[in-house]
Amino acid sequence: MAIKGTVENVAIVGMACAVPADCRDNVDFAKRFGQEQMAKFEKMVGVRERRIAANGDTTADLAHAAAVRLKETGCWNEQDVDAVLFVTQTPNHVLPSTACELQMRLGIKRDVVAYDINLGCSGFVYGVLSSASLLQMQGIHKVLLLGGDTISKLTAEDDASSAPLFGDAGFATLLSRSDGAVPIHYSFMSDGAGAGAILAEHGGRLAMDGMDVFNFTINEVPDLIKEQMSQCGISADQVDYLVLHQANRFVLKQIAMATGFDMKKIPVSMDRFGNTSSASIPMTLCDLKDSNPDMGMKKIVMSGFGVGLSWGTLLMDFDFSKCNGIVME
Amino acid sequence: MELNEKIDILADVFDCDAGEIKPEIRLDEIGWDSMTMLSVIAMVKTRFNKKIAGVQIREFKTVQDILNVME
Repeated sequence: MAIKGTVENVAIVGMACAVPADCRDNVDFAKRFGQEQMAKFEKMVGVRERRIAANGDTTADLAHAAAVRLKETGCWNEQDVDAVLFVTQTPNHVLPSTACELQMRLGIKRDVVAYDINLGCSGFVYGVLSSASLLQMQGIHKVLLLGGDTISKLTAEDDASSAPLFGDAGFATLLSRSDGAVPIHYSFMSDGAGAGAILAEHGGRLAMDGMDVFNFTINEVPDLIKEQMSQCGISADQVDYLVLHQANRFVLKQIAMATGFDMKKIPVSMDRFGNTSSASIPMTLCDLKDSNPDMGMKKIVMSGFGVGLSWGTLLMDFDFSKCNGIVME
Repeated sequence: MELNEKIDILADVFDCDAGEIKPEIRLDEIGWDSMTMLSVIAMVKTRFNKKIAGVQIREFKTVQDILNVME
């Protein structure tokens, strides 16, 4: 059983993403790990390129660039944001919270709620849940949900399973109270028994047990998605897109098979951006909009899953006209 | 499921001819890496609705070890 429910009168009214300008293909990895190994990796995992942040650049810089893009559209200003959330596994410091730094850098007023959420692959859907919860409180009308990850700073260059998989990215999303908005349905789960499957000690490198993560994903995630749709009386045919955390192509195919979705309904951004951790769902939404500029309201299911272990699903009507692209930082 | 059907499934997973797959063959002779392990985990889950733990699959030495869970 999951934590399930419905949020009313809340809407996503703006979204933008940002990636570093430095684009890395698989050529160097092929030299390091072997041509045959990388060909197999590319075929199965599906990552051809990824964006890597320069040494001094942080996740906060990427989220900041996305937030500035969003501000240019007019959907928020320094005086009307009541909460700033920052979802990441790669904050600027152990302390303080990066959300406070971004509140200052973005010039947002001081009478604002600001804090970090320490989640990765499931981070975006949890961020939406947290934002929607805040929007039920008195005095909070707009939430600037920021986040992203620079996992490249946690991976060793000679780690054949992690280094070619991850890419760096940030995102900004504006959630607002919106009377009469189509309800957002949610389901969430957590299981710390699997904490060791994806883990980085303080100051250490990312260690990932691919088998355990994969087992968790194929055994838990499709069931939660199916449960969510069944609870809402909706079939895969009635959903326009299943927007998944971009774990890897093989995982996406397994989830597609287990949930009855055609792969055509599962958009992919990881081929050009890698697994971008907490940014992967907004990256995929903005990327999809960039390829289909006229796209409007669509019924979508989003699912984030991974480090924690933590997983969650949202079923909602999403207005793609609110996506404002991917900025090259 | 008959043995030859299982061999055909494994030939697909290992991307080789069915003739190369024999129960006594050592897995490291036919390309046993982490990506193939994931393919086997997925195949066993999809076709046989069974879960193979990471620690369990790392102990597999021969094709027979995989055949044993294809029940």
